[in-house]
This record gives sequence, structure tokens and C-alpha cells, in this order.
Amino acid sequence: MIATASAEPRTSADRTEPLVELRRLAVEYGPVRAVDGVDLSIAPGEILGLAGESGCGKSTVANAVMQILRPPARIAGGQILFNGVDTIRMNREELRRFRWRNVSMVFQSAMNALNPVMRVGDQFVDMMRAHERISKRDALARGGELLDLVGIDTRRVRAYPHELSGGMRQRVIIAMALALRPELVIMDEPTTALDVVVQREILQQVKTLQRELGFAVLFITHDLSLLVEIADRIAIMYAGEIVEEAPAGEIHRAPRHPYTVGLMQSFPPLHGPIVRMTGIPGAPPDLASPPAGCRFHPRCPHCRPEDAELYARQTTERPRLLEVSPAHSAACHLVERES
Amino acid sequence: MTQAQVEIPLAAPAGRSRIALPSWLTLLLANPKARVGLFILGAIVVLALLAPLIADRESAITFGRITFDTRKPPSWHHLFGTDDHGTDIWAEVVWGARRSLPLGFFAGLIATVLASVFGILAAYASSALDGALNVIFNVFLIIPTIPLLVDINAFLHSRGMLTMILVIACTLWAFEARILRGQALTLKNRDFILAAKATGESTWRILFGELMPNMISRIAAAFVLVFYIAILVDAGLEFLGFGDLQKPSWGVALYWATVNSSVLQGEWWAFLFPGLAIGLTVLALTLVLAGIDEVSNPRLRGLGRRRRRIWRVPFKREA
Amino acid sequence: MSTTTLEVEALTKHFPVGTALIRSRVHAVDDVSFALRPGTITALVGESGSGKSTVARLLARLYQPTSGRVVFDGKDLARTRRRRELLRYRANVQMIFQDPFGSLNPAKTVRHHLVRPLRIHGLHTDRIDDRVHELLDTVGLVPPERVAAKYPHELSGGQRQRVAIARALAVEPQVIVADEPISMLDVSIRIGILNLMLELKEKQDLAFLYVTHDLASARYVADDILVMYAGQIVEQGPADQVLAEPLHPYTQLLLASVPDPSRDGHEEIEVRKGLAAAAVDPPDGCRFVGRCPISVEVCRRVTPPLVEARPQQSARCHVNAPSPAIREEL
Repeated sequence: MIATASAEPRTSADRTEPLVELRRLAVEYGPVRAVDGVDLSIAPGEILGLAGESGCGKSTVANAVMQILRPPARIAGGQILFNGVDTIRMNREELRRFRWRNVSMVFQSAMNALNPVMRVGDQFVDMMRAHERISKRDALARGGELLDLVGIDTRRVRAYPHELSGGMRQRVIIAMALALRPELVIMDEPTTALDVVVQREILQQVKTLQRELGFAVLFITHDLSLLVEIADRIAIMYAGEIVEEAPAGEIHRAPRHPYTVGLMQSFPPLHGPIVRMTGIPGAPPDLASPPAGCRFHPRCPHCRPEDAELYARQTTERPRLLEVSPAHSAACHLVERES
Repeated sequence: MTQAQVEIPLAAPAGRSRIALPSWLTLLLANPKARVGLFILGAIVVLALLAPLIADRESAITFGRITFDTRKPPSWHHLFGTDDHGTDIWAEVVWGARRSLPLGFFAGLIATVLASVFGILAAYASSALDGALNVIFNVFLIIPTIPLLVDINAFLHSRGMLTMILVIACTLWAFEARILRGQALTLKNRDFILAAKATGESTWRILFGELMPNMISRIAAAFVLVFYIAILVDAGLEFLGFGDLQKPSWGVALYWATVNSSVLQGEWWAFLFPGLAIGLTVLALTLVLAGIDEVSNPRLRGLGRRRRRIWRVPFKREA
Repeated sequence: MSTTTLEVEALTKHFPVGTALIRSRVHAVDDVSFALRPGTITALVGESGSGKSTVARLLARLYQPTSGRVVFDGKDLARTRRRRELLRYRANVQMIFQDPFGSLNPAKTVRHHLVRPLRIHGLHTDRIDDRVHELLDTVGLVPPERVAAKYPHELSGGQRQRVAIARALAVEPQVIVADEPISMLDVSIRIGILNLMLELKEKQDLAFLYVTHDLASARYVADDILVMYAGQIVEQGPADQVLAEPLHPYTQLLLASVPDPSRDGHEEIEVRKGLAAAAVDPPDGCRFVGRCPISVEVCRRVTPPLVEARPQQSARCHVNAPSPAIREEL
């Protein structure tokens, strides 16, 4: 379910309120708008995939939701509603309680999240005692349970991070992210640095846990083929904006935005005939001075001066995210004209 | 443009400067600290170059003078005043620069050349050669500069600039060699070095054609460091009385100022101006050093638009 | 009929680890044999630590093998130290690295990177600049005059990788070893580089060794495929054949793990302990045995040899590709 720019009434089948809602979120790094007017929502218990290439702003969105943006990054506008409460307006104490209890995060590299000189168990204790009144012994026991939950031998609670393999470390930080039973877990490229077999194992684990515990996931990655497999819905980001949003299967079967089409054309298939693929020519724009109008137009095969009227719109007007079929929206002038 | 071709976007042409300056100089001049430092240094260099025109060398020499113009405060006739012997302080400062600047420069040059060559060799060499070189570094590191110079003074009766330059260079190079070896070690396993090897580049060309250009900022920093340490060491020795009293120099001026108790007698100019000369020169060099640091480490540059040049970009996907 | 350009026989590389007292060896590459033919792309697939990058570097003569032969033009050049022979080898076997930024010298222009190989090997010395522009044109970097003057940091990752390819092409090699050339590039750029490789293979009859962990891209470009596990080749054969009907359980595991949206439903893979990385002083027996769903008793005792179980397709597995001796035993 999305909030469109024209504020149409919500027509989703399931009527629960969204867990997280981003309304016209804008984040700036100095003069650069890394995130420019993003509308997004995550329902409780759903897996939302956020796909895009480097520099599109997806990590910035994650950090904004987690409220861990550091200067020079600042939220320049919009709202981040969590269960209806605007987290941007929270004070430090409220934020401290909010983080990790309501939302937690899993980073790309476990070594970014784990202290290399502390045992894994002690890090659990540290984290839990920061949020709850709990004795060291109980916290350590809980830590062991959590490790078991993610498929690691409980005795490893005494290990140092470097004694564990890359895949195990990543599981540890997933366990830590789940420690306080948050409603939303943000995963920012959690398996990118891992081998494909380990990646499959971990994702299987995450799906199992998600079914058992019922948390929502914001899964950020550049690997669209992965998202199609595990996400319920997928949003595609380009140059700081959401350009398409739809259920996972539909993004795969019937992508509408030319960028999405190009992205799908960048993943060679493992089965079926091998055809020459095209990728997308050119490179993502410099966000300090993005192209006027549609930000994708310099690379878009459908942007041609011959089609004068459309071309004029593509080069001057930013397309709005509009619904093109149930639960499927795209921000594209061509798509708008066709529907 | 076919599908396979990748068009380089038309970048806005950079402003064309009227004078073709080497790129490192423009980069350095853009940094405010370095700009101030280079300006001060430049002024002192100009003064030193113009010395024959602006000051009388004879009046700069203190030793064995008989004159009537003693202990005069700064005036139009004697810009910086005169000391107990009648030495013109202005001349002493201006001609003294002709000692300190070349001394620092050449000491820095020799030390830096030694440090670069041996540091890079040690990094690239087999572990046996590296081990041997490290022992040599350590031996030289232990040698203390000033006591050695005092000893040499006593034995050789030589107080010339050449001796000073050589000894300072030989005692300071090892310190920098270790640092440069460390940097070369981080660079030697970078893919572009392996690529040069795979292309068939000879080892010498790899070391000094590919590796060394990536160390220029650190080498430049080493040079500036030894430059000003040399000046300080030299001035310090002269201050203690080991200088050549026949030649004008800043340290000797300070020596006389102490020996004659100039300050106690209220003749502040005999102390202040030579001291200021040393201080300003060292300050200028320190500022240039800070500028080099900032220019080479992009993270210290603040919100500069220049992207990382030499620093490795951590794992990240790029378009 | 294509003849072999480069042949690798029983290539082995062990690295010493441990203290002087306890000498252990990491078997990074063990008994690897394959041949590269002109006009073909051979994919070398494996996970991190499997030894594939070591094989690439051995081929590029950045390491010397512990044993084995690398035969080019009839001569074994694995261990030669003679400058002229080495230079001739380097004129024919070139390498492209994984990190597009790291493989270019940040202090030098694009032109320098292309001029050096030309000068070292004495190619087109009378028209160097023209040749530089030709090379840039071939890899699709236009306008070449403008690109030649740029520094690496002024180029995007995809452009840098094209410069690296141009540099490799400068010596007019017959073999190019590409070590994960696209894994650090943005997704939409990768296909462009892969298409460039296909183009070069066709137009210049080059032999490529494409080292990667990504099965999908291997399938897209490769004619033949080699699968590596813990330093050994565990399966080899024509790419479409191996990927359609894999013999070795590890290949099957890889195929099951790769994300594939066109596959309906997904069988859960079984999680077992084990690493694809090279082992220290490995004992005899199959190295995959700890993770193998179909292992039998002999797998722990005897190291399986590479056996051609189907025409042109070989695997190192007692169960799916048993050697005659083992077949008797089983």
C-alpha cells in the first residue's frame, strides 16, 4: 500500500495500518539531496525489498528510518511514521528506547557491528542491559538462546568474532538484531559479501524466523534476482527517488518503468535460452546536479526528441509515482501516457 | 554511438589558468595554510637572494670587529639595531638566511633521497634484504644528532656547512626511511603494481616509476620535516657556541645575544630579530607541512570537491 | 579446428603457514589441469578461497607454481626466470583484475597505462598515440583523445575496467585471464563488460579465462566451465551441459543456491558445515565429503580422480563419476 502523491484513497485489500510510513522523505548531505521525496510504507510482518544501484539513496533511507544519520547528513523534510508516531520529532531519550526495540538493523559487514575485542556473549549482555533491567547471567543465557535460534552452537557464545566464519558472524548480528523482538528489522546488503551457498543458508534462516516471530523486514540490496525470491513487495530506487513499486512476482513478470526493465535485463538467467542482454547504458547521475525532469531520461531508450511532446515532459517535469495496476505503481511519463 | 560505446560525459571545462603551474603547486596553493607558509617562506627566500643589495655583509660579521655603532636600537640607519659589537642585526638576519635556507634544503634533499630509495627498496625486497636494511635503519636511528655534531666539531675543527648538512642528513634519514617503507609496503600489493608486473615492467621501473609517484606527498612531507629540523639543529648548535663566528648566521646572533646578556641590558632587538627569523622560517615550513598533509588526505580537506586520489576506496560498488 | 593456446597440467600451489617448527601447507591449488582454446571463454567458478584467484595469478606468472606445467606454444613456462622468455609469455597472456580502481595507478593518466605495455614490448612505437586511441576505441571509450588524458579517479568503475581491458589488449595477447572483472561494478554496467568480452572473443579470436563466483554470468559468457572446490577442480565440461545436468554434488549445491527468479518455488537446501576454502594439509579422500548428501565410505579414504563420466564432461566424484577401479569396489 502506498501513499500516492495525489493522495488517492487507499485501496489495498488488507486494511491494517502500515507499520512504517515514509511521507515525502528528503535527506540532504550538504548541497546534495540523496533522498528526494520518497513515499514508502511497510505493513506489519511483510518483507519489503528496496533495490537500486550504488548512490541511489537506499542506504540513506535505511539510516533515516533507524535515525542514525550523522552530520553532514540531515533530514530535510517529510515524515517517518512508526505506528503513526513521527520519529523525526522524537527526542533523544525516546529515540534511544525506540532504536533496537522497535527497529533494529543488520549491516553488510558484521565487523562493522561487532566489537573485535569482546566475546560474542558479552556483546549480547552489553546490548540487552542497555535496554532492559536484566542480570548478566540471564542476558548471557538469552544470548545463547538467540544463537541457537539462528543455528549456531550455543557454546559459541564465548567466542571472539574473528574466531567465527563470515557466515556465522552475519548470523550473530542477525541474532543481535532480533534480541529485543523488534517489529521491523532493516537489512542493508546483509549477504552481499558472503558466498552464494552461505547466502542461501542465511536467507532460509531469516525466512523461517520471520514466519515464526512475525517481524517485518526492509531488505536493501542491489541484487534484484534475490529480492524477487524472498520479498513480498519490491520498491526500486533511482537517483534518490522511488521509480516503481509492486509485488515481487509482478516486478519480475511485468516491470513497467524503463529502469526496472533495464535492471531485469542485467541479470543473466540460470535457466532457459541464453540471449544477448543489454544492461543499461550510461551511469547514474551526480546527485549534486541531477538531470532536469525525469532523472532517468538521459539513459532511457524511450526518451527520444522525435516524440516531441513526451520528450518535453521527460526533460522538464519530474514524473509522479502513479498507480498503473492494483498495488503496482511507477513514476514514468511514458507509462502515464499509456494508461 | 553504438550500444557498446560508453560516452564520456562532457564535463564543464576547468578554468584555464594563464600561467601553466605544475598541478601539485596549484593544489598546494589552494590550501590556506600552505598558502601562508609558502608566502612567508617566499619572502624570506627573496630577502636572502637580495642580500648583497640590501645589506652590507661586512657589518654582519661580529667577530673581531671594532666599531662605534654599538648597542643602537632599531632606526632607519640600522633597521634592526646593532648589538654589543656593533654588528648590524638586519644584515645578520638577511645574510644568515643564506646559511640556514640552503642548509635546510640540502639536508632535507639528501635525507629524503636516502630515505626514499632505501625505504622503497626495503619494502619491495625479499625478506632477507628487508631484514638487513631494517638493521641498518635501526643503527642509524640510534645515532643522536646533536651530540654527534658536537663530537665532530671537537675532532674535525670543521664548522662548515657541508659537514653540518651531511651529518644532519645521515642522522635523520633513517627515521623517514622507516615511514616510507611502511607506506611502500601498503602499496606494493595493490593490483596496479601487480598489473605492471604482469605487463612485463622491469622492477626498477615499477619501484620508481609506478610506486614512488604514489608516495610523493609523504616524501614531500619528509623533505619539509628534515628541512626545518636541520635549521633548528644548526641554530641550536650555534647557540651553544659551536658555530662559525666568522660567518653571519641566526644561531650565532643568538649566541652573542646570550653571551652579551643583551636582554638583561634591555637590548631586546639583538635577541628578537634573529629569533623571529628562525621562528618564522620554521613556522612557514610547518604550515606548508600541514598543507601537504591536508592536501594528501582528502578526509582532512573539509568539504572540498576533489575526490579521493591516492586513498583506497573501501569496498563499495561503483557505477 | 581450434588448437590449444594454453595448456595447464597438474598445476599445484602450496603456501607455507605456521611457524618454522611446525611447517604446514595450505593447498591453495591442487592438481589443476585444463586447456584454453582460441575464440573460447572458459569460466572458472568457485567460492572465496577455492583457489580460483590463485590459478589466475599463476597463469599470469605473478606466483610460481609449486609443481605442474603451464605450456604455451609448446614450451613449459611455469618456472622460467629468463627475462626474454618471460617477456614473450607476458606478451601473450594478460590479466584483468577485480578492483577497477585498484588496478590502475592513481597517479598516472589513462594514456600512461596504455603506453607502457606498448613501449615495453616495442609495439607501434612510431605511432603510439594513434595506437592508444585505437585501443580505447576498441573497448568503447570515446572520444579517445579526451579519455587518454584522464586520471583513474575521473572515470567511473565501468570505464576504469574498460581501460584495464584496453591495457591487456595493448600487447596483443592470445590469452586474457579475467579475475572477477565485474563483481565490484554496478549491476547495470556488468552486462556491458561481459558483452565486450564476447565481442573480443569473436573478433580477435582471444582465449579468455573468466574467473568468477557468479554462476549466472558464467553461463552467459562461457563456452566451457570449470568448477573449483578447496583447491581442486571438481567438475568440468561445456558450460550449458554442466549447468543443465551437473554431475558433482557441489555443482548441484551451487545451482540450488543461486537466486533464480524464474524458478518456480524453491527447494530448501540442506545446511551442512564445511567451507569451500583451501584446507591446510588435507588428508586423502574427497574434500567435499563433510557436506555431501550422497557420500559413501570410500569417499573418505580415496581422493576421487577426475573422470569423464559423459562425453566431454568430467567430475571428481566416486558416486556420480566413478573411475573403473572404484566401480568395481562399489
